[in-house]
Amino acid sequence: MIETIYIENHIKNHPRTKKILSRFKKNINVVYCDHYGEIFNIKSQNFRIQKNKPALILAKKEGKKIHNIPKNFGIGGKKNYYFSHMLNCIYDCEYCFLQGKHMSAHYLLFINYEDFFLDIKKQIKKNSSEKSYFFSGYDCDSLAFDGITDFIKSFLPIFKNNTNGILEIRTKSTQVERILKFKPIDNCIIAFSFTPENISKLIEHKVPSVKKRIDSMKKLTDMGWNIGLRFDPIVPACNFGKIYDDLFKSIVSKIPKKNIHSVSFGMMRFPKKMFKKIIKENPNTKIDSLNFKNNNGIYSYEIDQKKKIENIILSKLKKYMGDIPIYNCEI
Amino acid sequence: MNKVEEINIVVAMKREANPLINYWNLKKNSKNFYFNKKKKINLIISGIGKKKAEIATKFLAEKSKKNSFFLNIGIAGHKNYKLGEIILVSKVTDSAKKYNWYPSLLWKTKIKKAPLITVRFPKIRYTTNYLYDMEASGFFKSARNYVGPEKVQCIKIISDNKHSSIFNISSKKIENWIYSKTKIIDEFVKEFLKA
Repeated sequence: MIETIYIENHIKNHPRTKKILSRFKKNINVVYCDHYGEIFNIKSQNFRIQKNKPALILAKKEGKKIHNIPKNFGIGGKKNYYFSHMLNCIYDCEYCFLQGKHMSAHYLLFINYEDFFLDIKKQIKKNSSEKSYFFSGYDCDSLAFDGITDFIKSFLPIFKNNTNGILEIRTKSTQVERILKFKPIDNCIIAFSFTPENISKLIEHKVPSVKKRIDSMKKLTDMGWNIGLRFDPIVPACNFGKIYDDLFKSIVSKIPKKNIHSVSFGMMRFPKKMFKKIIKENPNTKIDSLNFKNNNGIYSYEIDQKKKIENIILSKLKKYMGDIPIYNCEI
Repeated sequence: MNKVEEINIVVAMKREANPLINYWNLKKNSKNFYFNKKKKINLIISGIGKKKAEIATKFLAEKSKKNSFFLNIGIAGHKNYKLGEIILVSKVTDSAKKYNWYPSLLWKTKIKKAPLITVRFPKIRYTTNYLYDMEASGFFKSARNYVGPEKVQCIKIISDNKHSSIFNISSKKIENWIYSKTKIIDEFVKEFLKA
């Protein structure tokens, strides 16, 4: 429950700021600031304490809004970008890189969507001879917070009218009703992230159950939407092969393959500094027991174990997914 | 996170401190320093002004354990708020340096929140909707060198407003205002110790 909203002074009269504010009770605590960095970027904040009761920060995004995605993280396109209208997430996954990336756990929302639209359109125009892929969901779960942000209502029409741009909305949310209000858009993929239920319960706090997420995917595919399946990170737990087999089986038993745009998977991996910060902030985290090895500055599974896991996952995915493209998000 | 070790409280005047010293049964250690080891509370009387608050906070920080909490308690003026009303400060601005601090408002409390400006001299005219005091920015400047924004907080009790200027403040009134809010302050302090 958000109890405090920080607002940059120069956007306090922006129509989107007013609309967002109107969604909260009148007694919400509003604090004005000159720049979001005064709250979000200051040192020695405690991410874990803040995560218990994050505030919302409304700000204007200056500078670059579209960024290249890391190499090998694509889903079939050559021109791949991500954009972040929001930083931080309502869920609390123990492996989430956001807890090592930002100083603060507050939700930072950039309300100048129109500037994002301009940059997205510019990029699509620049790459006019081929498709441009845009990923939303690197720094937040766009769908989970849509009741506050109106992300879907704002961004979907941009892609509807610019079909050379492909939008991937990556989520663990089940709040699909706002998408279902729209007619399906071929160039939009609602990509759901999964780990097997018993792993999810242990390390993906506040995330809806696997069953509920599959039900939400079903609602979307019934209406003709394309979905994506993201198994990233893969977590090597007890009965690893069986629990992933069960997960894949339960998805394909409900979701028609013709609606699955792509499948991707990746190992848990962190840059050294980020990994150290996550462990320091959350010394009881269960991910620390996964026996990470430092491979050239990247903390991940030991190389032989990683190969073994990849082979198992790939063979099971091929078994269940048939001709659907499968991508390995390797570093 | 590590358990909060101690609560370091900075107040400007003895008459602000008296009700708190009595409520928490604090023992005198030196002229301006009081403590209760069992309750994990340290209190220092800094004197009036931001520089004195800064120095006193530093003194407490260096005397106390690493993972401690810092709380400034005192009186402040506000255009409209009622005399004796208790406020949790949501933003501190130093009027001279134009620098801001934002204490994280994560703690369970029903205390009303408002921003504050620290000024060099007492205010007679209230030009903004902020609270006015003379210590908070010095306290924040110093305490934030030791801990993050979650652990530095400021509580003010309204002592003057547009209907009752600073000239109407008396020692007795200050003691009464603070005394009437000690229970609420104590509940707030207990929240810190739970963290």
